[in-house]
Amino acid sequence: MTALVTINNINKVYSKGQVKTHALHEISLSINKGEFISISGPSGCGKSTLLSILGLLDTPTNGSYQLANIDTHQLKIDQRSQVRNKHIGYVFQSFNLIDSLTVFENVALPLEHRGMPSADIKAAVEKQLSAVNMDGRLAHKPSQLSGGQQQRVAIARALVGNPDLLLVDEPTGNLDSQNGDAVMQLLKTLNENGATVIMVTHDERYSQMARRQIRLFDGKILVEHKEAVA
Amino acid sequence: MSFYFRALRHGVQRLFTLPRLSLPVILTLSLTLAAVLAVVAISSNLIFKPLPDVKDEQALYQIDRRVTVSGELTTSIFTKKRVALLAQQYQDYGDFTSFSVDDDKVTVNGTHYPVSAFSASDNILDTLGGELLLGEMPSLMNTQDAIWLSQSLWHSAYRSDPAVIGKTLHLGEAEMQIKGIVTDFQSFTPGNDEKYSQQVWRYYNLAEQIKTPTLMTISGDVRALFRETSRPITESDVEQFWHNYYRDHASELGPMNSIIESLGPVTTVKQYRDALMLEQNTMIWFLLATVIILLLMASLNLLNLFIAHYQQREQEFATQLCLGANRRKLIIMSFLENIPTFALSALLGLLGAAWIIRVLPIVSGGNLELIELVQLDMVTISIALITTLIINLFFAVLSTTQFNQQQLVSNLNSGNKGLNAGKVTVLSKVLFIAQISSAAVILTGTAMLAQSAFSTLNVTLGFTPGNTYVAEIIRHGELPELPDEEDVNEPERHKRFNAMIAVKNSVTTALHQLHHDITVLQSADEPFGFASTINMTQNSETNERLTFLAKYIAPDYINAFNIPLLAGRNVTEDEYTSQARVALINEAFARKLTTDGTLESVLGIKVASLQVVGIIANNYTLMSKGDGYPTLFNARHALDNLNMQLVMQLPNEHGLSSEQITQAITHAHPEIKYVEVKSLNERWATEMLDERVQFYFVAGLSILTLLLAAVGSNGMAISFTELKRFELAIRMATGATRFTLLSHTLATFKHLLFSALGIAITSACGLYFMLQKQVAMLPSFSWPSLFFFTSLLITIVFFAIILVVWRIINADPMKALREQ
Repeated sequence: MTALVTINNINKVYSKGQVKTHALHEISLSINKGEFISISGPSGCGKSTLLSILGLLDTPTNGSYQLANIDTHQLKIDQRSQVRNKHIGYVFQSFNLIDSLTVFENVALPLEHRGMPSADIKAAVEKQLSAVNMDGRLAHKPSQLSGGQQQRVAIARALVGNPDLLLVDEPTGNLDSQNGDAVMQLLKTLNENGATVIMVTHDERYSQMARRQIRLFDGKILVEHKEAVA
Repeated sequence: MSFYFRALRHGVQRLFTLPRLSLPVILTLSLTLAAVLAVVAISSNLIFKPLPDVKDEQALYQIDRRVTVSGELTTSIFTKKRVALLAQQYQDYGDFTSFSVDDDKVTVNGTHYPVSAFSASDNILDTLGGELLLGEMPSLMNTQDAIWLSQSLWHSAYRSDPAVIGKTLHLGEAEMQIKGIVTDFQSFTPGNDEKYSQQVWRYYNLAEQIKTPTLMTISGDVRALFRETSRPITESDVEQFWHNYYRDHASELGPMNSIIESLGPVTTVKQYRDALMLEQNTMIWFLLATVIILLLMASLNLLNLFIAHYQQREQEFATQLCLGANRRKLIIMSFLENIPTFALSALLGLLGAAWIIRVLPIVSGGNLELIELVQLDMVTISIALITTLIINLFFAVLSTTQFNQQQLVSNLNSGNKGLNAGKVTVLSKVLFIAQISSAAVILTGTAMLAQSAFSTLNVTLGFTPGNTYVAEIIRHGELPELPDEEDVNEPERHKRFNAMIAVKNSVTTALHQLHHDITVLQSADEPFGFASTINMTQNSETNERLTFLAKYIAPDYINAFNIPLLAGRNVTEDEYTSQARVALINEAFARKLTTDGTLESVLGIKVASLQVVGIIANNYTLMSKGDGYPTLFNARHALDNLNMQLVMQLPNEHGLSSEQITQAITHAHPEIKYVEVKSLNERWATEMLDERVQFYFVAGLSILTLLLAAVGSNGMAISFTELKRFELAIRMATGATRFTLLSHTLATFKHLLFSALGIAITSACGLYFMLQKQVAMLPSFSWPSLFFFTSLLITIVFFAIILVVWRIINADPMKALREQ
């Protein structure tokens, strides 16, 4: 099977004055299309840093990262935006929906940045919102939605451009258990339909829903558990 | 809806939904643009555009020789004859022409039209480049009792009727026949009179003026123009002409040469445009510098506002970047969002500039020549658009440059916590100091100008004007010149004096019927000196030549206006009735004449053949714009013409209109032909109009500057306090009251604030002292004014900051904690 993501010996060091923090230490991973991976670990272990690097929101201090056969090290800032737009969907713990835009407009953003015609955008957005059961709220503003609904809109936005890789950062962190379960069920369904999902979570229950579980500690992979493919 | 169209739509919505941003931006930018564009329009029209009605202006020169009569008062000594002689001497150099202009009125079918009345040599149309539209060209043969109308007057008085040629009209009292219509002439300065596009022209032949008698007159006030055709005329050429003139006319001119030389004559040959513009190029550059500082300050203010605004939108921008938008796209989005606000500001700025251009002729107080030619042109409109586009683009670029990789991740992963981790940037601090410094620089300038204008408006007069009216009366008839021989002169003078008194008595009776409390003074003049004449005498001790104001008074003068008598005595009733050769002088004159420093030593001496019997205190006069101009108060009336002036007083609480008094006087005596009445208060108000408007203008500029400082401080405070929101929340959670939070926030601000004010005031004072050496027109430095305006600035800055901090403290700072 072709590897969608290949990272080799990645390190990330934050420097502030004389103080250096080693957030990631010699991380190597290979992720195939269609996998559902959870990354867990205690606070400060490097989960979010790893996800940021995978999402091209941050760059490693050293090491290599290939996404869909693209060497991300060579990319300039605007090229990184293009790769993000085409290959990555990102779901944040705090949703990061834009308050001034409607649900429809929020979901349409990645396609607009891609330069897609309006009619195609409309069709794609409506389809995606329907997939997350938010098709009745197209004209609502994020502030008019519950946390669970906002997260479903955020997932729709992440998926609307058919990305190769869905990065999910603590998707249930701001949700109650009922909404959290629903969101996790949605992610599982998406994965079963072919989406590659990498999820950061500190919730052991949700972590175990992934077929491949990676546990980080002090910036290193402490343990990796992989379910056998049925 | 496309991404860009939505950005534009959000921009329009933001005008209403985000007044905290849009209002200060529109207010700041439009007011500042109005000032900038008005000055740009002035520069564009007055400095760079050719004069509208002068052909080939590079070859046209104004030749002048001026003497200084007093202070700022100078006069040209060119007369028609002198220009004619100059033209004769240098006829091979090019063409000479001359003109003078006064305001007057023409009467057509009973309707009066105020006009600029020109008296010009008949070659002026060719020399300047004007056109004859109708009728015949002026020549030696057709200028007697003839008049040419300007196109504007032809249009307003005759509706452009071609059959106007040959008709008659009245210019003042004289009947004139219309001989032609010429194009309007705008490129002239009206001197002290009003300027009108409705004009009349009377022509004379320049060469013929050589035959007229040589007069020993100083003030000529004829403008001599020269158009170069073969070689340029130099100042040395003109000096040579005057040398020849004095030499060739020595017998007729008598002591005039030495009098003129004592007044420091200055010869100039300037291009006509430069002569028109006088020193206003310096003023325009000065204004341009001021408004550019204002624009800079406004931009700094807006920058702070936009920094604060974009800080609040960091997370949104980070999300957009994460979803695949590149920086260029975000810049375009910000640019489009700002377009409605900036476009509205530019539009309001242009409207404001148009309004300023309308009021500038009044505001400038006659100091800006040709200001009526200024209009909003394409250059000005283009500059408005370019300026707003550049500022907009700059702010749009700014919206994304503040992001670095780490901030992006931080914002996305930490929700609103990213804001709380921020710090006031060095850029923000520098901007704050720069804008407070700019405000201080402008305020220092305006403080001095305001102080100067305020002092002028609130001048100590040194007399009580009271409820006084002045009537100018012209009587019917003709008066031969007064004979020189004493034995014939005196009886004739008494006859004329008695005739004048008879008219005055009739007027007094008529006025008493109008109002029983009215007092007609024996004195013919009032202290302001609206109708005074300037004379010259020589100090017999020092041979120094002295210029002085001459006023015609009577014994009632000093009591009527409460002017203290300092030495000697008042003129007596007998001296006035007998028209004795006695006079009072003021202290300023006495100080120039005294031989031992005492006022008493001047008593008894003769000035202009009048014996000084008393010395009175100085008072404000229009001539000196102060209280120290030497003045002679003559009890012996001028009786060489049929003009007379009447001064009347009413008790303060009583009022009569000038029209009522005019009506009463007109029918009081059959000899009275023409009457014009004005109250001293009206005249003073008119006289001070320029100063009042200038004061309001300076006050307006100060208010605009303070407003900009307030907006700038507001932006800075928003930015600063937003960054502190998280800290404020924690402090509140741990028991701090709102007042504690306010004082804590202000305390963290105070170092920046006091450093900014210190730098600002020091740099402003330093710059002002430096500029004062370069620009003579700047008023002297005034510490009280600086203190007042600086206190105002500090108060406004503090108030703006407190307002913002208090608002943010009251807007639920605990939300920051809950969001965590």
